[in-house]
Amino acid sequence: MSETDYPEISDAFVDQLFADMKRLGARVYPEEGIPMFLVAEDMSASAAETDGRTSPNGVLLASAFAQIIAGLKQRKPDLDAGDIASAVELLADRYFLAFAVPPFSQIEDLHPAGSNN
Amino acid sequence: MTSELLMPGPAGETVRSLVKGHAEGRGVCVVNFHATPSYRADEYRRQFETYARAFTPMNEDDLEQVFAGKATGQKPGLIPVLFEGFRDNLDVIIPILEEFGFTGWLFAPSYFLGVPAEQQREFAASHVLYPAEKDEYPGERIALTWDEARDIAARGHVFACHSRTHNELLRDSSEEMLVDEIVTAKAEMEQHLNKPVKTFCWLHGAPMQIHPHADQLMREAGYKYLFSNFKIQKLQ
Repeated sequence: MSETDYPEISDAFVDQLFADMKRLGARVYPEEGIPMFLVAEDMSASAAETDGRTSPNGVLLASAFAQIIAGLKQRKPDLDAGDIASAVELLADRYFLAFAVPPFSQIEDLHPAGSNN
Repeated sequence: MTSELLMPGPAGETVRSLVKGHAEGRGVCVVNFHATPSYRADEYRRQFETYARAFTPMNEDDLEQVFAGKATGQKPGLIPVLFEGFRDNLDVIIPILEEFGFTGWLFAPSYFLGVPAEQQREFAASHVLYPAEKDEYPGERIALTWDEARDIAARGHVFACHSRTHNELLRDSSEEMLVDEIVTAKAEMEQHLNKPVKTFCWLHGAPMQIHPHADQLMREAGYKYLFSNFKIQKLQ
């Protein structure tokens, strides 16, 4: 594997996806709090084309989501909306809190005011 | 009635738009609740204690800042959605949200709140509304009253139309159904809350571009946001 190759999606990775989705699907949806990621989409008449700028955490999240989708498609090539919903739930279960942090050097509690801004 | 989740086009199109949206930082963190019984209060409290360290509260003005690309601040926003308008939302989870400074978004089918108390369980059973497994209000109402809803809204929480009777959009939904679930629902909720309602969500979360007339009616009725399974869409 070269420095620029991404890890291949292994059978073990896909097994874990399906096991996690089964576990999450067994939650008591009418009573439990279920984390989800939704994407904001401007469909108004005044919507401007996005300028293509990306956010560091957003790119990681997008990559993780794309990887989950690629894994699901290995076993189920024709995904439906329910599969995508399960993928988003899995994404949120794994990363809901993980990406809710600013860069280390910008966490105010950890640095004297203004030292790294 | 079908429980099939709908998408406007092929699955690959939806996936690509979600990947692009996340990469561009347009992801919004939401946590969905329905019934919130008191026997889970400790669980909810522990979760919001954790959320309070990671997220900031988000109301409709804050959501608009996301669309405007002006969502700054160290922590991302969090939208706790409370679906259905159950009474235990007020009794159990709203005090917890308020303790940790979060704004609740209550997505209620407007008709449900006016159903007589003795008929609410039957209405719920026939309209895909699932109260808590253990009934904590035997012989009493299970839905919020409009007086309670007004009080919740006055405390800064957001109310949204979850259709009128907890109905889902189909590709062939009738004109009569669309008007009742989209237009009448908004008028009914606004009349009782005495404030504008800007947000809509179907049962089973249909997005825009499923039914052109539904899209038109939502815009004409004055809704600004549609919450769906994968997106929060700004309509105008």
